Amino acid sequence: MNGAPRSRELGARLGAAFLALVGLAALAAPWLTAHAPTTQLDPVALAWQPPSAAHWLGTDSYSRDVWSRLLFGARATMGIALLAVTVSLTLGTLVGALAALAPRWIDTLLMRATDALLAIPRLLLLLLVVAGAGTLEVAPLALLLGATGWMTTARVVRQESSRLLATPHLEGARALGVPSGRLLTRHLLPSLLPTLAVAATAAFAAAVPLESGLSYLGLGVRTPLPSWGNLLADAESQPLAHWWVIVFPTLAIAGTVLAANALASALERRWRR
Amino acid sequence: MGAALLRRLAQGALVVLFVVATCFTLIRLAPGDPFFRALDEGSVPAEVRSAQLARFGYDRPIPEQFVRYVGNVVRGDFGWSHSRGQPVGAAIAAALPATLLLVGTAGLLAFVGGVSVGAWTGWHADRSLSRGLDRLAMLLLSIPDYLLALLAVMGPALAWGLFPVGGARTEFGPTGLLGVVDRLHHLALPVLALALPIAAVVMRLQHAAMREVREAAFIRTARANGVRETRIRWRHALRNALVPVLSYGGVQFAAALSGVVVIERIFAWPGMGRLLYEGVLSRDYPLIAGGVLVGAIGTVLGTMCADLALRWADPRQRGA
Amino acid sequence: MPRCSRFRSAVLLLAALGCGPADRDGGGTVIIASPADTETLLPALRTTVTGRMVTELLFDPLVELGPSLNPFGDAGFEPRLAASWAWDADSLALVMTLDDDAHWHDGQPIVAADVVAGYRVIMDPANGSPIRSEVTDLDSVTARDARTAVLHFKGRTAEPLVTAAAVVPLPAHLVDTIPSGGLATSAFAQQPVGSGRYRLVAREPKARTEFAAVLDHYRGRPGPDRLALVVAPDPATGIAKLWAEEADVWDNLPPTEVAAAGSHPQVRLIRADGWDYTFIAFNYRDPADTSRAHPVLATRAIRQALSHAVDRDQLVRALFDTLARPLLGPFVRAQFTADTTLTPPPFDTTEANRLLDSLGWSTRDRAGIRQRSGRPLRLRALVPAPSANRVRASVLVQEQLRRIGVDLVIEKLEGQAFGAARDAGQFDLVFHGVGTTPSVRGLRTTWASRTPGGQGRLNAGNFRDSLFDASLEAGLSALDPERTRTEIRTAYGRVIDDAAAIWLYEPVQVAGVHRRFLTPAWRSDAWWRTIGEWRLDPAAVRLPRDAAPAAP
Repeated sequence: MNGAPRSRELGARLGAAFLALVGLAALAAPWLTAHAPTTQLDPVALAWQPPSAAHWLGTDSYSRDVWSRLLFGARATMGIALLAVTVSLTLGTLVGALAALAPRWIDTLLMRATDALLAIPRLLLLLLVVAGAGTLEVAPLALLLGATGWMTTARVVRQESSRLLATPHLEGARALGVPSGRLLTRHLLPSLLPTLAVAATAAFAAAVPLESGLSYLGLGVRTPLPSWGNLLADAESQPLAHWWVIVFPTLAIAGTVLAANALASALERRWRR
Repeated sequence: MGAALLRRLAQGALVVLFVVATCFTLIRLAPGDPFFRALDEGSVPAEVRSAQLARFGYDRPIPEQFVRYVGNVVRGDFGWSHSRGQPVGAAIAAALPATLLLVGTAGLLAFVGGVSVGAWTGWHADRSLSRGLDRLAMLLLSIPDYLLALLAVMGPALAWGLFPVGGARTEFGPTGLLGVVDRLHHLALPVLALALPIAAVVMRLQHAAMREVREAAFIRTARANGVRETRIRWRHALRNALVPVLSYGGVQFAAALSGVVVIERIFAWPGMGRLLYEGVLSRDYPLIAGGVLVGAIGTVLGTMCADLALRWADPRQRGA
Repeated sequence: MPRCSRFRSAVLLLAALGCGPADRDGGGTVIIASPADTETLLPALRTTVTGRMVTELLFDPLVELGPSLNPFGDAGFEPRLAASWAWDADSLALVMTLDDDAHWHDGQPIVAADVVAGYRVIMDPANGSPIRSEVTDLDSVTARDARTAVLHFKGRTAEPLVTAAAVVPLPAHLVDTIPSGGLATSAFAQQPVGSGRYRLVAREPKARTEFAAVLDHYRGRPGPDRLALVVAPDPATGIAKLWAEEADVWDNLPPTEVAAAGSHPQVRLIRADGWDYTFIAFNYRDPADTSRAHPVLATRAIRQALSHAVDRDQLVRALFDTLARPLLGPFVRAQFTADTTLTPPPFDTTEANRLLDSLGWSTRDRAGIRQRSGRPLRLRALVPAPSANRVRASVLVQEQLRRIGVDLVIEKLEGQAFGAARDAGQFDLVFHGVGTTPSVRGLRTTWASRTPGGQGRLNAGNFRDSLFDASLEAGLSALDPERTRTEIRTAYGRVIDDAAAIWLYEPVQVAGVHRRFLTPAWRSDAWWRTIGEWRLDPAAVRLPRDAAPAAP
């Protein structure tokens, strides 16, 4: 229609293709590289090698192959982000929709609880938990990110739901006595999909960089397991002299988030029509 | 209205209490104590440390400590910051203005800039400039914020020497009017690093909402009724399209504090983010409680303001 | 001991020459950038190196170790607040005569009661002074008259003046009114009145501390007019300040930044001996139950095998290039007692594999990890996240151990959690660091057997050897420095021989200093002690901040 010229569709397709490619590359990582991601070839002679035929994306300070670490790192990073988004989206939608549908006092209780959790800076909460728990494995880290990230979604869903419930279509359904559960699954959730797509994008876009931000503060995934955040954290000093250890992980992160954003906008448009 | 506001304030106070209690408890459950000073210095014997803990009552049950803390706060005593060697009140009085300046400037820039650009691009969604701006915002959103900040230090500050590398002012620098300029010069990079990602989110939200509103029935009705185009755009469309941005803004206060932790660390900015971060690392219990208390009050007030603004922007919410 | 008036006039002359005839330009402003702030302004409460710097700028000690860095006996020490000292006939009482010209920053003269006050503050258990263990040699401190203080020792000791230097006088007229235990939270702790060549002007904790030169100081007017300690929590930012001329000193540049220094010609690099060393300590006790011996690591052969498996030369090259040396034992080469003939187990994977095979760790699982009766050879290593070098070292060591079939699990923890786990003995290996001083008494904390009295507090692995303890105590109570050296070297040998640790590296310090300052010989153990002798190079271009401060 009017707002969907061909270039946008192309962008969405490229985004989907890129995400699929990253996913496939993560799964097929062992067959796409000759080097293991944790093998140190020779920390003295082969550290900081620029990109070459032998090492497509060069080597890092420990003489590990950056291409291999990028591939295997996609597993941890994508896994963490997806799991975190799933957790936060599920929790957020449940709380938000429930608050919109439930009686007033439950609504107030849920929303004030959400406010309360939102009032704790997320980084501080993560810091407090990590300080107490020590180094985290992939799954607990993802759950932690998800469990500390659902509140924004809940607020937006609550807001959007009460707006939707006020529309003639849903108001009518409610007046006809459609039970709450059915109202939620049949009427509210489909209408919420565009909002959820945006929320999921935002959560995904937040989770991927958050993982690397935690690594920067030294609280990331356990070494020597590669993740894109770990790659960046390992590269920290002298970004100008050894550009390849910082540019490629950054491109991977930026590309993935961009692709997800493009895809989500396209989906949103499609559903809206 | 007055009763509703009072109820809302009471709820807010409960939220603050909950937040402080949570952090108060979590930090005491983490290993370590305020008298552990340095990584490899073992020169404080365990019995001296436990004597110090007892001196400040940190050996008491946590609920008892919390009750006593609340009592002290009510009397205006925020306790002693062990890591800074000064009263917590003084530490916060020094850090809060720095952060308010940073966050206030960045927030204003991000929301005003994001809303106006997003409103324009959303209304003119078919123009190529608008698509370009939208893509730029997406690109900004996809770079981790700490990396953006590090790049800002490495590029404009270090490599090109256009901006100071960090800190809030030049050491032994100018005073008077030149001093103000000097402070703004120091403020520029951290504000940009903090504002750009927020502006990008705001702009995208505003963009999407504006596009949607443009097609909405009530706009078409207004247009059919002969309301002038500019009035439609600014009175009806923008006001309705602000809803998602305002509800996003309402939840950004605490998130901004998270961003501030990283930005303040990289730019050596002496504000609340660093106060909290360093407080956690040094297990400075009173400092964390005080910082969280101030942060929570700010967040609750911010959320309430955003809710009020929402009611103004979206009349349908008023009944809810 | 000669009175140091001649020395003082020489300094004054130097100052006059350096500052030009009218002294109009002043001595300049030094900005010291640091990743950490001081934890206190009082000498009795300091723990860290930055704390040592700040408190030593503000407070002069009675005596100070000179450039010889020989802590034994009297010969290596220089007078400070004590213009001279002498031993009483029984050799157990040290009589300190205070300098006539020494004053507190508030103008009050420094008297013997101030020495007593300094000692009392350290000894009051309610104050929790971390340096209390440094003065345990003392029985009491008394004032013989207003200008004479007497330090009474419990017995003979090899380093009496190291002890005397720790008893930093405090102004009795200000601290005697502070109630017991109230020192840390007192107004004096925030606005101390000191005796050093610099006085406190302003302080914002964790951001900046500003000092001004004491113009009528008894040791002469110091060179730089003003100092500021500026905290940059991210080292990259702090070092960038040095490159951008926003700071004048960064005292410990990492190798990557040293390599980049060529493009910043206004910064001069100064290399000096390092005083920190890093090693992997083995836990002798079972982490699950510290009353039992460690199920794996209590065997010396397995500690030796792990030592043989680590290629320390490669590790040092990879981490520091040429800016560190492999560690020889529990000491740094700059120490008076260092023994370069001692050799830890060499890198030898054949020997490592042979030892592990002979201990029954001979079968391997699919990942190549050794097993014994179904249990994999998996060890947990504690690594402090704040130490970038140790984090990097742990990744290299992990890979080297994997090659002989040992699975090293890295527990990277933030500082407090690391310290708590280390002190509780909850680890198999710990990446441990020790900051030494010229004095060797630190061995009591780092390697002596743990006692309830607090010895061996940093002996994280619970190494316990009575012969080590005997040699150490014999060395620390000998009056002949050569005898001390021999005994201490014997003690070193005991630790190395038992393979109590894998000795990793001792880095060289590289400081970056702005070229417009002419600096005297760099004190590797405490560079700030000579900052009063810094002079602006008359030929160099000055910065705006060097303009003389407005008169107060």
